Amino acid sequence: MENMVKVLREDAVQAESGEALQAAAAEKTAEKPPRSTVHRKRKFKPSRIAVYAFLIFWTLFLFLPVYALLVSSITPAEEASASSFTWFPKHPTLQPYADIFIHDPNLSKIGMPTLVYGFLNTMWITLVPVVVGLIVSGLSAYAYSKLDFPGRKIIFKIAFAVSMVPLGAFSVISYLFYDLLGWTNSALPLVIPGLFGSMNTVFFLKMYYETVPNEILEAARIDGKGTFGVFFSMLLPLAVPAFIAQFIFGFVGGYNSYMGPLLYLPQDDASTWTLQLALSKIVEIFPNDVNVRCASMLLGMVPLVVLYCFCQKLFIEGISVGGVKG
Amino acid sequence: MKENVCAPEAANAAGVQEDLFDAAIAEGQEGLLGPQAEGVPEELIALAAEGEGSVELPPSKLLRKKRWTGQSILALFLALLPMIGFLLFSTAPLVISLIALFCDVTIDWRGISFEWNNFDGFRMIFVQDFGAGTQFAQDFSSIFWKSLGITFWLGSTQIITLLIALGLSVLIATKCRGSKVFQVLFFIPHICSSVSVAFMWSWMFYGQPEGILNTLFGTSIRWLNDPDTIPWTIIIAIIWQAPAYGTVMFKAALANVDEAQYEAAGLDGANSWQKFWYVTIPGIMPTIFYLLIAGIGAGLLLYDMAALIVTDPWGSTIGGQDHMALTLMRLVFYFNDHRGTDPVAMSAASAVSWILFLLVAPVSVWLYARREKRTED
Repeated sequence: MENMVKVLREDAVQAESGEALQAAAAEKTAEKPPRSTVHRKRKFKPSRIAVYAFLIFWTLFLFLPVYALLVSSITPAEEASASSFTWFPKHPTLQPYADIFIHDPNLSKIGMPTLVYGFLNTMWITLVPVVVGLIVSGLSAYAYSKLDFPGRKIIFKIAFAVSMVPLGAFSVISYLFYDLLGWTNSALPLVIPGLFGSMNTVFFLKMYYETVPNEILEAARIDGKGTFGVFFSMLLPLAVPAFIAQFIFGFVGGYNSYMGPLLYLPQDDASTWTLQLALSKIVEIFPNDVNVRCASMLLGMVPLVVLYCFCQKLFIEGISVGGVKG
Repeated sequence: MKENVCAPEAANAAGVQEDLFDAAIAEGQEGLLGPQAEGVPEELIALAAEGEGSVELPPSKLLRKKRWTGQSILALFLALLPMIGFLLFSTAPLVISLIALFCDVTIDWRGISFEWNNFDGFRMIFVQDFGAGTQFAQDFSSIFWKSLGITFWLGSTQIITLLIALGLSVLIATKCRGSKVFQVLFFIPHICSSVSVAFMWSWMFYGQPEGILNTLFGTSIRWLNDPDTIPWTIIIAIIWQAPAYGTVMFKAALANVDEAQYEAAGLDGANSWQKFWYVTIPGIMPTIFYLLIAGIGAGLLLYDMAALIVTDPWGSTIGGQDHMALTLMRLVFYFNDHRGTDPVAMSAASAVSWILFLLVAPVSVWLYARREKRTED
């Protein structure tokens, strides 16, 4: 019974949030003038049903694996059958979620549950290069668009052309270079290169800066601000949306990155792992508990999904805009 | 022509600024005058650059501030920072891998040493039976060709992905009730990490009777161990995740298609399908091309999803049963992981990396040409 109530309640919550979103969408369309007569006429055609059929089909396809993961994570081990998948556990339990934190075999070795340690590692390994790199890119874009130096345009062109060379193919072989520097088995190769910013970010921020009128910057200059003063007191605050978009793009990429940590972090020292690396080794951490593994995966997704729910617009903007190289 | 019109204006503006502010900020004025004015300062830059260091420069105010001052050196330094990072951390590995193509590279406490290896790296992946003579005792030439084929196979999933994304964004663009909700939901896979998506799908494809798909279909297929099903498990996981990005991009592109064109087509008696084919598709063609090319570029470098779904015990079957999940990137990774086994491993890894680079580079050249064109517009 309790479960039924729970399921129903969840449904109600979902329906509520769905309605809220729909209402928001409706408000938006109401503000705008009708798109065109052509569109309005289509409203009650049977094709509408086909549209919904496809949209719902895709939604089901997207949520079937998530549901399977969720169900597996709350199914007690003794209920899991060996002959077929348990779609609706009779006695769902949240114990697996607790086990992540209290039954972690690394707990005594590194002093914290592996996933918590991993989350903290991910935070600094991601945030340091993203934030510093963003400020460096911001300053660089500021120099290209609002300051002057001899050869500004030609240097920008060269920098831009060079940054388009696709070096992804060398991401593994770069190991040789970091080995030479003695940086392997540490987070340095994941952090240091990012501190210098990237030309893609520069390109994007430069386009944004060009919408900022120069008079505003000159006014700041009259107030006695120096080169950096103008940037930090005027340009940066004005370009906050652009910075947030780029920040989200970098943060999501860093949070989810897997190959870099796999290459460079010591595979035998759990206290250095990032969250994704720890998750990829989840079978080693919880070899006997399927439900704890599923719970760990879901828990690993929670931070970004929650952030996304709170600021969908920024996320979509940040990721679509940040990813465009054209 | 345009330069003539704008030249006095530019000089004027800059001249006035000169009295008020110091040199660096006055130059900002140049941007304000719009693209037409850009021709002039560029010439001046060239002039200043030529005359740099010579004392015979005309004492014009405009030219004076083009020379090196504390301000301009600082600006140059700030501008170059990302390039410095790029040179240090992208170009240096490139140079070392270029050397590693032809040399056995040894790195130890004494530093780095190179020894000419007679194209062993290339022979490893192209000459049959060469691999058998190395410490690996494996024929990597057949593995390489197979891997190349699988890389293209898995990379081509991007085309299906794109069609799905296009379909979904068109459906969302019908603005039916709740389309906003669908849009929000459909983006979620993009923010899921490849680790969790791979785990989720390997759980779906779990090869025992209690596996989810086996329960659904009433089968007991070992999806992740059967060479026939391995590529499909990866393809389906990609199809689950990848359309999310395309849907957002297409949605933005669809919103930019001129509404008047639809109405004109409507007046001409076009039905919805004709409108889609003759108005929508041409309108979003640039986005289609961009996503296709960028997607294939990323698809050829596939690593995460393949390596995480079809795990590799590093035994005799690199990249899953029958090498069916061995993308080229995984092959590079395999060689890199086994650099201690035989010095030729790093040469072979470099060779495969460079081949991948040559496959992906045309894509980027195209992207670059496209962006250049757009910048000029």
